[in-house]
Amino acid sequence: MMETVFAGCFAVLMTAAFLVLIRMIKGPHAVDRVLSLDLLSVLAASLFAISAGWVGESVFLDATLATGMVAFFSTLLLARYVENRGRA
Amino acid sequence: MRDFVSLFFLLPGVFFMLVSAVGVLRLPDTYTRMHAASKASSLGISLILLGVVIHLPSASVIWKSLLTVFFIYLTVPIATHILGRAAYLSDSKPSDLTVTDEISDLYRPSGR
Repeated sequence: MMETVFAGCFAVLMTAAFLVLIRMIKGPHAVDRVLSLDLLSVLAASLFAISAGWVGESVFLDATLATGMVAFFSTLLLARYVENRGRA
Repeated sequence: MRDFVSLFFLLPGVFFMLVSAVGVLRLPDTYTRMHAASKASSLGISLILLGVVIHLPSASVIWKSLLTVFFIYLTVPIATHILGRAAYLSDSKPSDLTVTDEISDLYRPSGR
């Protein structure tokens, strides 16, 4: 039973990632794109968490932690870049 | 029984992640989208991790999940604050429904 639940959760999270991807393509401002990248990374982290439960391996939780860190630092750097763009 | 407790946390977590994605797609301007992306997603990922911990209760799973939730709650507000500052300073237009902008005198003295 739990395998079905994890597969369903995986499918719903992939749908959510697709919706965020639409916003990343449309996004009128650069900050919208950085924001969708941040949310996509958090979605990838939760997909790794779901995989950990699905497969029964705790190794995937390392990937969750690493993806969360990469999301934070990439958002920080891209936001600084967008803020200072065109001001030398 | 333990499966149902795990499900009780997993399904709301996935629901909150979906709500966050729909909010990012549908809300009218950058600031409201930021509101959807930061709060709902950190609650969603903590509920998902709690469900996984109940499904696989071992020491390493518990420690890694606690560390991840701690790190997420530490970093998501900082990242969103920096993003909001970047959006305001690089002239992201608020939607027409916005009522007031209280810091326009401080950051935009020329009224651009």
